[in-house]
Amino acid sequence: MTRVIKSVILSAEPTKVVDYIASVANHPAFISALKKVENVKGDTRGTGATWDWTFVMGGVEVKGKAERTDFVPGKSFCFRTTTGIKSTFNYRVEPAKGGAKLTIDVDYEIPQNVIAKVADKAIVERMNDQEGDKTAANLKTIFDKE
Amino acid sequence: MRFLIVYLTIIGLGLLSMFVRRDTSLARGAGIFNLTVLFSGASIVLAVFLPALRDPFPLVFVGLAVLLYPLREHWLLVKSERGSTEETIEGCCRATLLEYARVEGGYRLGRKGLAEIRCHHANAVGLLVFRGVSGHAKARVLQRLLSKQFVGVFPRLVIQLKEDRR
Repeated sequence: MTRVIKSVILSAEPTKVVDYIASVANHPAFISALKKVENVKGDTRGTGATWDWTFVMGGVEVKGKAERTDFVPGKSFCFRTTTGIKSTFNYRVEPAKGGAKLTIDVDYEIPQNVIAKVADKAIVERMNDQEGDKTAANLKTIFDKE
Repeated sequence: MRFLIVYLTIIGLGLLSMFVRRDTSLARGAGIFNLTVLFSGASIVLAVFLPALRDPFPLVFVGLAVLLYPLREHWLLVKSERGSTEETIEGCCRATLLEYARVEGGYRLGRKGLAEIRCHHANAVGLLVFRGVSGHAKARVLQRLLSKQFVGVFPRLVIQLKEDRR
């Protein structure tokens, strides 16, 4: 499994940050490669919530599903993808000077046959690491006070 | 002449694709400008290095690029309806936590109103004009999110991943 961890200080209370991220319809706003989140079933703060996602990679739309795995008010929101590439996303928040420190922790595994056909593993990992940087930067912009 | 034909064919196919599709399609002024610059550069390179293949009108593309430069922040929407476009803009503002105010003809963005979107509609065609977005980080995030709400000029390949039995 490959891991991407990014941290950023956001100008907002931890509760507001977690509530914003737990509303999965907001995810396309800060994850640049994520085009759409739809068919959200259940409350993403409760158990069993699922949704459909659409990513755009190299001009190709990839559609899949995800389910919430954990939500702790003011502290964390976690989910995993249930189709295709195995991945788990953990968003953890703690109070910090200026607002909240958000840590984005993503574990993923790209099947070997996909790597062999699509791209070198190192390139994929670098692209995902850059995507993590963009996500952190977008969240900082979204929560920045004007 | 060949370059011009290819260029006009791409533009024509793009417009046709937008008009036949069911969903609201978006063509960005920046995309058309970049395409024009690409053709402009290629025609100049050919004129200099491969005179046998050069286009007789390389300056046409340069002229087009100059004309299209001020339209980079213009978006053309096809199969759009004023009400749903406004709903989409407002939804994206909420998703990016960007304050907005409705003004005549569009929206003022941000607490200080330093950026704006002008909306024009006629039948099923809409024109969005962005002002001040390049200097406003939140407005740029909004713009990127807004572009995801519409389909592109040309259809994309779609891959549906199958459910895992975990």
